[in-house]
Amino acid sequence: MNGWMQDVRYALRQLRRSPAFTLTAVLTLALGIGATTAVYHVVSQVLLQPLPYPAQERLVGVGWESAAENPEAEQTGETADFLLAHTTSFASAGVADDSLLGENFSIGDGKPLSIRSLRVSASYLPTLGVAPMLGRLFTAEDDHVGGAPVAVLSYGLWKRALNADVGVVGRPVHVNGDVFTVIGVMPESFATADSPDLWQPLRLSPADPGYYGTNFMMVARLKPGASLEQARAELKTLTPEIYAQFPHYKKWYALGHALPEQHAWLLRDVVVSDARNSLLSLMAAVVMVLLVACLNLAGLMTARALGRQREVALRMALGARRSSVIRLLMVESLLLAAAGSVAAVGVARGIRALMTVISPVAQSSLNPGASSAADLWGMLGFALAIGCGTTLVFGLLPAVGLLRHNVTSALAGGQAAGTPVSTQKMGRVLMIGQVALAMMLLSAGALLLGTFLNLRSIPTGVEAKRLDVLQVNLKGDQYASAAKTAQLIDHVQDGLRQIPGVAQVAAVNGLPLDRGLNISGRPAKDGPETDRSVEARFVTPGYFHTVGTPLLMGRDITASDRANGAPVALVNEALVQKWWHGQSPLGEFVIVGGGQPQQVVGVVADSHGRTLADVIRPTVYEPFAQVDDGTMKMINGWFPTSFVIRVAGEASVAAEAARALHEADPEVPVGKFATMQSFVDETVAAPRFFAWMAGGFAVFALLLTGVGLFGLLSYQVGMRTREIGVRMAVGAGRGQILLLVLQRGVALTMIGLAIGVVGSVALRRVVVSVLTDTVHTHSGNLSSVLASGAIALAYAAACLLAATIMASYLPARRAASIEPTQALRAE
Amino acid sequence: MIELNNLERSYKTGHTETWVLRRIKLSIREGEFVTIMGPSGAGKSSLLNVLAMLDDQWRGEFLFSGVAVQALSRKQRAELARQKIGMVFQSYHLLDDLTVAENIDLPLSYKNIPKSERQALVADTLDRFNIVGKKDLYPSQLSGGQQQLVGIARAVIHRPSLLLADEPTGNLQSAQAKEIMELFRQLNQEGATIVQVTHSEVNAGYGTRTIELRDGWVSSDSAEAGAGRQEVQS
Repeated sequence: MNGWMQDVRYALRQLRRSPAFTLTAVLTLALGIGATTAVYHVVSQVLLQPLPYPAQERLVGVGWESAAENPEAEQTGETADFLLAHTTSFASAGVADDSLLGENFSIGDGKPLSIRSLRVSASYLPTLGVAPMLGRLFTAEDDHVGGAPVAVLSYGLWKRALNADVGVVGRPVHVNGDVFTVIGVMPESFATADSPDLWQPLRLSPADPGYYGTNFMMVARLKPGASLEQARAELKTLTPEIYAQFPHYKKWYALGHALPEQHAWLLRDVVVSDARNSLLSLMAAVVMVLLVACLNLAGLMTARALGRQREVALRMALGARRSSVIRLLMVESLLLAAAGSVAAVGVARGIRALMTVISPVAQSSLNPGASSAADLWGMLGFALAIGCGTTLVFGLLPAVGLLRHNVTSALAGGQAAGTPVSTQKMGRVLMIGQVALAMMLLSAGALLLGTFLNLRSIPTGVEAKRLDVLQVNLKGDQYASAAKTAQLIDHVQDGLRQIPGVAQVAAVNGLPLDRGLNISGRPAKDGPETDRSVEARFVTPGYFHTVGTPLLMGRDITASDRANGAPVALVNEALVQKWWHGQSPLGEFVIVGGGQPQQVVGVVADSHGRTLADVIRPTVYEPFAQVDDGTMKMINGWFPTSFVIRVAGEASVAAEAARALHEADPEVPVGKFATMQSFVDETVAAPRFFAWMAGGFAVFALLLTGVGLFGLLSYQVGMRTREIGVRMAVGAGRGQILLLVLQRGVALTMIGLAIGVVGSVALRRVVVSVLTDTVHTHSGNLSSVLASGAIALAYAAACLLAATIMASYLPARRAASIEPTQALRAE
Repeated sequence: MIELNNLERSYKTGHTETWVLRRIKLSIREGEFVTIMGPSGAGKSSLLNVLAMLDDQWRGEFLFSGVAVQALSRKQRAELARQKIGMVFQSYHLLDDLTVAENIDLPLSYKNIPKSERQALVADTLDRFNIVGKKDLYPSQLSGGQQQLVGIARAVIHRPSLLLADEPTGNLQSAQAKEIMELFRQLNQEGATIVQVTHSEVNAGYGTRTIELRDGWVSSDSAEAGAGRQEVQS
C-alpha cells in the first residue's frame, strides 16, 4: 500500500511538471469521453430503457412487415378487426388511432384549452396493463358506436383544467363543444409515446371515414406461456387469409412486389423504431470521436514513455522490477483517466443540455420510459469506466510495449539514441488513423450539413417573412356544417382585419408544409376509372395574395364564388403538368372526391405540401364557401383551419388574434399561433439536428487530430534536433527545414485522407439512412436534396489540410529556429 | 583564405557572461592543414563553429577568401558555407534513416543541382572512397571507421575549399584513426584546406601547423616562431 501511495505522489509530481502533456491528455479524454457519455446516455435512455408498463417485455406491436423492416404497428380498421377476431396468441389486444387529434376542451366556463386526444379501443389501456388513478377505464359498451360520450383524463389535464378535483368522476366536460362524462383519471406515472391529454373510445367501425386506411395501431400482450415466435408464426399463417378476405390490399403493391406479412415486434422496438437508426448512427459517430481521442492518447503516452526511457532504465538498473515500473506507469494512467473522466462529465452535461435544446423531439416522446434528467452518478460511472479502459488500453499498453526493448541501453554513454524506427512507425500509424477517422466524420458532417442547407434553400412557395399563422380546431357537431364553419371564418377574419398592423388575412384548411386532404380526382371529361390521387386544400378569397403564392393564370377565388354559385377551383402547376401536360386548363372541369364538376378558373404556382424534400403533389384549391357539409365535417375532424395573417411590422399580434377568435366563438381556443417561418423550420428540424450533431463531432475530431498532429510533430522535432542540426550543418536553409517538417505533417495527412475517402464512401450509406429517417419524403427518394458526396469530401479534405498546416506550422517553425551549434553540442 | 581579427564569442547565462573566444587574431592560407589543440573548454569547437559559419553570434572581423563574413546576412553566410565549406564531426552525424548514398547526397540536395548530376557526383564519391558496395547500407550497419568515411565523403562531395573536422577520430580505434588521418592528408595534398580540432598529438602530426587555445585565447601558433600568449588589454 505504501508503494502505491508513493507511486501516486510521484505520478502527481510528474504530471504537475509536464503541464502541457497533462492538459492535452486530460482535454483529449474529456472531449472524447464527454461526447461518448452524452450520446450513450441518450441512446440508453431511448433504446434500452424499458417501457413504463407492467411486464412490458410481453407487450408487442402488430403490423405489416415492410421491406425496410422497421418495427411498426400500423393496421387498417379492417385488418385490426380481423386480427382481434382471429388471433389466439394474445391474452389481450387493443387498437388506437395512429396519431393524436387536436381538440378543444373546456369545463363550460368559457376558457377553452387546446388539447391532444387519442381514441383507443376498450381493451387498449388494459392491454398496456395500466389502471386509472380515479374512476374506471372504457368498457365494451363505451366502445360501441352510439355509446355515451365518455372520456378518461390525463393526470396533467386533471390538474390543469380541473384543479385536481377528486370528485371529477361523473362530471361533464366539453370536448369540441360536445358534452362528455369523465369516467376516470390516469396516474401521473402513466405516459405513452407522445402522451395525450385525454382518451376517448375509438368505436372502430366501417362507418369511420379512416377505417379503410392504415390509420390505426395495434398493441397486444402475449398469453402466459406464448412466445413472440409463436405469435409471429400465427400471424404468418393468418396473412394469406387476410389477402383472401381483403383482396384489394394486393393492389397497393406493384405487380411482382413481395406482399408484406403481418408480424409482431416487441412494443419497445416499435415505439423507438423511428429514432433507432438515427441514434445508432449518432452513437457510431461519437465512438469514432472516442477512437480519435484514443489514438491521440496513445501517441501522447508513447512519446512520453520514450522521453522517460532514461528514467526507467535508471530505476531498473537500481533494482526496480518490470512490474513496479509498469505499476508506476499504470498509476499515472489512472490519474489521467480520473481527471479526464471528471472533466468529461462536465462536457457530457454540456452536450446533453445542448442536445435537449436543439433536438427536434423530446426524449420522452421517443420512449415514455426514458428520463430526460441527466443522471450525474450514472454518467460519472460510465465516463470512469470508459476513461480507465481507454487509458489503460491505448495509453499504458504502448508505453509498456516500449519496456520490452532493452531500456538499459538508454543509459549507455548518455547520448540520445534517436527514435527507434518501430516507434516512429507507430506514431505515424496512429496519426494516419486519426486523420482517416476525422476525414470520415467530417465528410459525413459535410454531407448532412450540405443536405440541410439544400433543404433550407428549397423555395417553399410562400413568402414566409412577416406571415403569422393562427391555427384552430373546428370540431364537434356545431362545425360539421359548412355554413357554420364559413360563418366563424368570416367572423374571425373580420376581427383580424381590425388589428393595427395587419395587412391581409385569409383562411386555409391544409396550410403549406402541413397535411392536405388526400383524395381521388380526375378531369371531368375522363371516366371514373382514371381517378388519381390529388390533394385538396380549401381557401378563402385573397389566400394566395396573402401568403405570396403567385397567380399564374386566370383569376383568384372571389367573394362571388358562393355556395349556390357555379363550383370553381384553382389548380397548381404540378396538376397542370400531370393532367393537361402544361396546356392551359382554364375552362376545363375537374371532379374531386366524386363530387360535382368544378370549373378551373385559375392556376397558381406550386407550394410545398408536407415537407420541403417531397415532390410537389398535384393540388386542387376549392373555395371554403363551396365545400359541402360532409366534406367540411371530414376535414374539420382531421385537420386544423389556419388563418394566415400578413403583418406590416415586427410586433406580435398573437394576443389580438386570440381576442378576435374569442369574440367569434369563446369555446374555440387557439390551437397554435406561430410564424410561417416556424412551420418551415419545423420541417427541417430533424436534419438540422443531425447536421449540427455530426458537424459538432466532426469539429471535435478535427480539434483532436490537430492537437495530435501538433503533439506528434513537436515530439518528433524534439527527438530530431540532432538530425536538424546536421542537415543545417551540411547546407540546409531554415526555409528548407520548415518545409521538411511541414511536408511530414502534410504527407501523413494525405495518406490518412486517402484512407478516409475510402471510409467515407462506405459511410455514405449510413448517412443516407439517417437522412431517410429524418427527411420525410412521400417517394422516399432523397436524390433531389442530397448534397454532392464529392463536394462533401472536398470540403472535409480542405478542412483537414488547413488544420494540418496550422498544427504543423508551430513545430516546423520551432525546427527551423534550432541553432545547429546548439543541436550538435547537445549530441 | 581566412583572416580573423579580434574575433570574440561569449554566452550569456542570466546576468553572467562567459567568454569562450577572446580577441582571436588568426590567418589561414589556402592549402594549409591546421590543427587546433587545447584542453576541454578552451574554445576549440566554438572556433570551428565560427569558421563553419554555423554560429553567427560572434563579434570582430572574419574575412573568408576576401569576403567580410560579418557584413553578410544570415542567408548569405549560409549560402557561402554551403558552397565553400565541408564539415566532419566526431560522432559522424549520419542520419539513421538514410542509406550511405543518401547521406552522401544530402549536401547536394540543398543545392540547385539536377538529380542526374547529383547521382553522378555521388557515384564518383562512392568510388573515390571505395564504398560503392556499401551504398545501400544504413549507418547502423557500418563500423565506426566506415561511418566516418561516409561522413568525410559527405563533407567533400561538393568539393569545398575548406574542410573542417571536429575530433574526426575521437570515436575510432587507432587503426581506423590512422586510415582516416591518411585520407585527410591525401585530401590536403589534393588542394583542400583543412582545419581539424583534436586532442591527439599523433593526429596533429599530420598537419602542417598547430594552434593551441587556452581559455579562449590563442596561446601558441606554430606558424609564428616563438609565439606565446598574445598580450591583450581588456
